Amino acid sequence: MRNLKFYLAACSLWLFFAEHPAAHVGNQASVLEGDAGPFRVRVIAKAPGVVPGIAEISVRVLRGEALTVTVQPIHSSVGPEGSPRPDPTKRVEGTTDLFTGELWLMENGAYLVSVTVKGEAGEGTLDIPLNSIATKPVTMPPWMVIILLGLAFILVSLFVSMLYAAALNSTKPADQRVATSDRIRAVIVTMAGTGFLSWLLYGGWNWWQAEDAHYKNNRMYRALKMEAQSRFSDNQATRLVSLSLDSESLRRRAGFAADHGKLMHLFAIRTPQLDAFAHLHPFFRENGEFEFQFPPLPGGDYLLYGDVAYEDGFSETATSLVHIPKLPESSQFRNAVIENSGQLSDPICGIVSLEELQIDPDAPIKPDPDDSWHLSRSDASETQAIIPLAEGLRMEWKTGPRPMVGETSEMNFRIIDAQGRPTSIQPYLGMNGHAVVRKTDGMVYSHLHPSGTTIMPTMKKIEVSSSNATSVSFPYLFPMAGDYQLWVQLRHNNRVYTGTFTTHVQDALQ
Amino acid sequence: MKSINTPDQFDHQLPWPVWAVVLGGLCMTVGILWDISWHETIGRDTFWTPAHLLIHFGGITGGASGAWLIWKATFGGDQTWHDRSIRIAGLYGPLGAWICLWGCLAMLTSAPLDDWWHNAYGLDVKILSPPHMVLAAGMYSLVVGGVLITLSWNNQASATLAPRTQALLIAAGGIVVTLSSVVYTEFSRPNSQHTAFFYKLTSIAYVAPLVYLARAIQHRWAATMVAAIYMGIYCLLIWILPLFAAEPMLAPIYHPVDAMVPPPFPLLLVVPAIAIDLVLRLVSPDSPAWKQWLLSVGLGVAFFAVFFPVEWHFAAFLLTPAADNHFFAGNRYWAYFERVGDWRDDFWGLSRDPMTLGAALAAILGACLSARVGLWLGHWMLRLRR
Repeated sequence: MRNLKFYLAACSLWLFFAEHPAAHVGNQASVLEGDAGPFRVRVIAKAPGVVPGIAEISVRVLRGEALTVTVQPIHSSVGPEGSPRPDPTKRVEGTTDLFTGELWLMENGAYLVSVTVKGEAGEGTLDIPLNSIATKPVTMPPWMVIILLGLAFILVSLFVSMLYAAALNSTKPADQRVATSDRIRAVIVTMAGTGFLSWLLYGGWNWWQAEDAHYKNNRMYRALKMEAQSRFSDNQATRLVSLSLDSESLRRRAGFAADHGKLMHLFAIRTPQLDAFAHLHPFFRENGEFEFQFPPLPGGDYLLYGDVAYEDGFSETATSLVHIPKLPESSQFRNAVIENSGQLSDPICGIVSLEELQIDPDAPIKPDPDDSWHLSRSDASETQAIIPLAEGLRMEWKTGPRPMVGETSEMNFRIIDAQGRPTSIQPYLGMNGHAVVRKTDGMVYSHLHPSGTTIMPTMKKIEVSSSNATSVSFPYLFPMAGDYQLWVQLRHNNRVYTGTFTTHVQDALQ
Repeated sequence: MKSINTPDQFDHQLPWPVWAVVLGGLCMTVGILWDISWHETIGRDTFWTPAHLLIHFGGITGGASGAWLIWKATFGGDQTWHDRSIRIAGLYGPLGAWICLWGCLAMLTSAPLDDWWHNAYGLDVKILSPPHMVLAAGMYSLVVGGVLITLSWNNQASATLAPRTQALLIAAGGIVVTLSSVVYTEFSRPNSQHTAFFYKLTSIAYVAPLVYLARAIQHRWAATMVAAIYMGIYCLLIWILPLFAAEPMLAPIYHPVDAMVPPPFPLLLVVPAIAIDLVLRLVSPDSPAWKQWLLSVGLGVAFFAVFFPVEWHFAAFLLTPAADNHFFAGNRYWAYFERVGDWRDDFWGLSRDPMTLGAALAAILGACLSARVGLWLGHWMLRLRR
């Protein structure tokens, strides 16, 4: 039965991502907050879902008074030299700080959108990466089907009528009567012409189907396939996981680029409990093969989200499902693994040191020093703004879990101690924090940074960390209403703490 | 309502819708070539670009003229109009007017389909797509409708009117051939003109219209003049479009351009058209069928025998630096999205689709059959009265 459930979960995951592929699954909006010279701006670029297509971009000036904002899409294959001149944006009526514009994206691949802000304080530019990929499913609304069929019926009927009338008497002078032989000839011509028209329509329909198949097979984005397999180390002391990315897909992509110094950021979430969470950095082997040691989290089925970036600036998320077995009773390292979250009085958060982990010194793959993980308390599913962490600390969602669809949510978090005092936050992997947003039905997944949803290798001119912060904000645009779970990772006292929050996102009109 | 044309007046002047339909066809044809240049130069477009407006104007002019003719023949109370009409669903109108109306409807149909197509599969990236073919069918119907309307007048024209209707027919014929050529653009670049497919395509695609137009117009040099108009329209655009500064507004730009990109130099159709005009004189339209078949063979062979060597060498010339000038636009028809490279100076598809003896025979056979179809259509057009 367990195998069947695992198989069904794997199938549903695959089917979902086959239809909802993206670097940030289910969300085509890139959000970036940063400095453009003297101005602080937040940029949201929404990819059109078709290629070529027109993306929407909005720029909110958070600091400073901007007079003009221009945007320029730069394709990774040509750079600024092969880009059109920047386009002006329009200030949204009734606002002083919000500008919107259009981005014409012609080809698949990675674009960098250069946003230039000018004002009396000076001029500055912020670049935001944007994936141009075709993701929109091709469907025709029923009303359009009816309209087109109606027009087609009129055209075919008129064509046949014209054919008959033309063959019947178009060459006859006014004083010449139509004979029976004329009518027979007209019927024959009409039948032949109708047959020819049918052949044309049939050919046109086949052509359409061929174009549709070509689009779906060759032009639509296909999620990078990832296969995951777990095994015990030879001495059964640790659990190892091998990842294999689809080599055929990788051949069509540029080489891997490091994001925060790692070739892959892998998030593992235990399903269906959603209580165990890990942020891992698998070791690259070759040909798209990665390996890592699984952290001391309970056994079970884990959803895997592997974020990778490429040298051309393109980024995407590969997904898989893997079953992590429990360590055998005989394993001397079994005590290091918490198997039942329900027994916890406090959640656990790693990592402190390799020694504390009781890592097998003979393990073929050591954990990455920047790996972190978390096991929630069993009651962590409640929607609340303050949740407990290990060692008496708590994490607070300062702005509260009330985001709306289509509005930029400024989600602000901090760690407070037992006395309610905010604690200092240290940079973790070059940023003041990391967060994962996942819709509970799996339709949306995003990896966030304080600067937004963008991937580091393609970003420029963005401050990456601050050493004296006591809270961290993540700008994000929720794409659809529903229940979401957030894992927010902040570093304090050289330890990464993960806070798990749940929230219900409402439609803006509700 | 007072009729603007009385039966007597038909002997001296053409009704305005006849001119208007041909004018509409010219606007559409120039508009579509302009639009292609727009896509190759600027990239971005909207419903309101000048090229689109010209196409819309041409389509509306043609469709409205056809509709007006049908209205006039049905409700105008004028016997002459009525006598020159066919009847469809209780309404009367010249066949050409009905075809114009059909063309306008097809163009209207293509609009929502094309819009949906862009939303589903992306913005325009190529000429040949199903919605564009619906649009092309509509446009082609409008210009053919213009030819047929003019022809029905020409076939019953007085001696006074005949030169004018014939001139208008030649112009309309040139527009038909030019518009047809747009569909074959992607296969007709100079770089493709040493492949077998190119000669098979041109043999089938151009012989029939040249033959039926020459037969129907009944001018000694009708095919030649029709081909000259086709070349003239292209040449004017080649010479005029690059005079206007423009720049790409879409990334990636592989080939920066600073002026409107011209179309490639037109095919030298005027040369085989002379051969068609000469061969057509050998057999009259009322000769027996076997002579018409023989004439078809003669036309097909003559077309290929003249066109193949002329275009073969002319294409080679167009790829040389000598043709890289404002007149021939030899190396100047590249869009901003086409990558720079030596491939531009080469003939394409030589190993995949070489011009062999078998291919030449296939092209000649295609030209002969195309000529036969052209003769059938031409003879029917000669007798057109309505």
